[in-house]
Amino acid sequence: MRKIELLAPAGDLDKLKLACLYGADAVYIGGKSFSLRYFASNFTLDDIKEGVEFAHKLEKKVYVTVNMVMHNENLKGLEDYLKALKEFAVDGVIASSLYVLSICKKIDLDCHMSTQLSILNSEAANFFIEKGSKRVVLAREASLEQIKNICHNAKGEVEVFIHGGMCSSYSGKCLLSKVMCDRDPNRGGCAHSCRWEYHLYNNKKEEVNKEIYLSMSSKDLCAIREIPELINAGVASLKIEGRMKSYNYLACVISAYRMCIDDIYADKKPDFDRYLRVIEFGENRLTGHGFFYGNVTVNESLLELSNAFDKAGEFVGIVRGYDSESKIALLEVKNKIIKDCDYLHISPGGKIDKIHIGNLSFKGADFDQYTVAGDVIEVYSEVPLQSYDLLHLDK
Amino acid sequence: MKLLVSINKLEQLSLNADAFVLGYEKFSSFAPALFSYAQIKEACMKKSVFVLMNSLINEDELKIAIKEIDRLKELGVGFIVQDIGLLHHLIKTYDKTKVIFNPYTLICNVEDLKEYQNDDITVFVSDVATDKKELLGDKTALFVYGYLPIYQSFRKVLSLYENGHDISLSEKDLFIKENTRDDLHHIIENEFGTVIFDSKVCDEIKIENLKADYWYIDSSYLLDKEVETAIKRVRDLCAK
Repeated sequence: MRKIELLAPAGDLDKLKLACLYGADAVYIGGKSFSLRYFASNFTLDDIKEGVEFAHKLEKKVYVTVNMVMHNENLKGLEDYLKALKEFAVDGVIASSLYVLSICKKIDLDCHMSTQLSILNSEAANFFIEKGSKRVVLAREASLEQIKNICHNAKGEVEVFIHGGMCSSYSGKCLLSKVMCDRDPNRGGCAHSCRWEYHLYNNKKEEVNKEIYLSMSSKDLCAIREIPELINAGVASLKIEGRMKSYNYLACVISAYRMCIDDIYADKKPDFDRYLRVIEFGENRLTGHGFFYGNVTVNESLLELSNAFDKAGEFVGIVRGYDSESKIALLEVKNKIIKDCDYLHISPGGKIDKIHIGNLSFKGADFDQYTVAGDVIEVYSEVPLQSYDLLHLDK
Repeated sequence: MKLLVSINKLEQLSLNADAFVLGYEKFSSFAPALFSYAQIKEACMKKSVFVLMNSLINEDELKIAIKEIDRLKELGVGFIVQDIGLLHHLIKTYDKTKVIFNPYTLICNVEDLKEYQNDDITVFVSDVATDKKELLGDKTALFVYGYLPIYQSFRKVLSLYENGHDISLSEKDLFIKENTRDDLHHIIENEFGTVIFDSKVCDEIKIENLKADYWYIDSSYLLDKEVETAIKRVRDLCAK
């Protein structure tokens, strides 16, 4: 049986590279058009070409999302765009449209059907597979048992979300954002209206429980403990949500799932506590197991809107280069960094160790601390560092 | 154009519609009312009936849902479904002129519409489509009057609210209002999950929409008088 694929999101070219280096088998990205996540940086065609070349050198795959629910005016240029993706040797697209599927069939480009289609049973999966889709991405409402049965009965590949944000509704079936603030969630404009504060009224239009608002918000999904069963079920791909997420999130979450998958395939007993510790460095929202054990309870819901979550460490910066002779690293600053301090160093493979950072300098001037996010400064480290390593403050 | 009207009691079969939509007691997430097999059978003897089964079906429910569909097929009814698995089953096994697919949000362009229509079924065009005139024609259905669903979830949002705050709601058919806005939206919860409706009635009873094969009036949350008025407006428009 082919090894299960770990599929990670990448909001831009730099994050694509990071995702590949931290252990994703495949990445999914969005172009400037035709994709949800309008507010992600997204990829130009040149970025896509470069990203595919980078990924393929590391024997990783790239899928491009074309999953917008298109209106007539959005169709312009679609076929040319898909042909360009085919030319760049993109490994597949992710779509919610039968029209996209039909073009992909014509040009021999793999097409995966999106979670926006609310595929919750094998008959629905086979509808698309019989029309030429290679893979279906299940709705997040499927339980573990249901996933197993779908994998058994589906005639093609099945992909399942394992980590990240959860829609409060069935994905694709929510227009709250469109109705309340004219931002179409099915065309990338979701304003997360489900995370706002609501009040209840009875049929006499009298408010019910004035002091307690209604929240429809959900904890994020973390299915690390379910990975063994998902592998046994025959799932083809495990998907991490988050094209809008940070470098830190990607590095930590991908590392954790990579370690888990590799340990299972090496017949080692999974160390879930270890993986969860790595995830904690990257997560900034509370998590639960979603619908894997049936409908969600209060434990998987965010009934209070505060995101009280004690972060394991603050993300300080990302390494952009290292000179082994001078022991100077180039560090892109994300949060305040102080000279002569210990930091947690996170590198691909989920390795976390403590290192000491000495002098800091920027454009020839030394600093006791540096706070300007985005600047690339020079830091001294006895420990060799590599591009895309992360530094964290350990709280 | 044929007028479909959903009803909440069998007495409404006397309304001036071409066909009537009856929510089935099994696998209908939201409908004005739910009808048993026996009631649907009774209705079929008098009028043309479409059975509404708009739940999204999980793998555990699939066999049972298909069995119910196969049972209803014997009555010669039409079906309006949202789940693509049920659609697939109907396409393979039934008279496609009696199958209407309503995904509520998915079909907003003319090319996707054609792709679904390739299976010779009728397809609802989403009301948020910006260029409706191009979309309308054979094998299309249009929601012309009623409250549109704007949120469908498997979660039982009201029950979670009760359990999380240890309070009890006297009913599960209420209104919600966003904190900074004035609009009240119907919210209902049942065994299939939670649905929220638009705060305003969708009114697309317009001459330019007459090209659609089917017009649909959803009587959920409408007074009988409102439904009758809407039907009269449709008939007056057709007569012009």
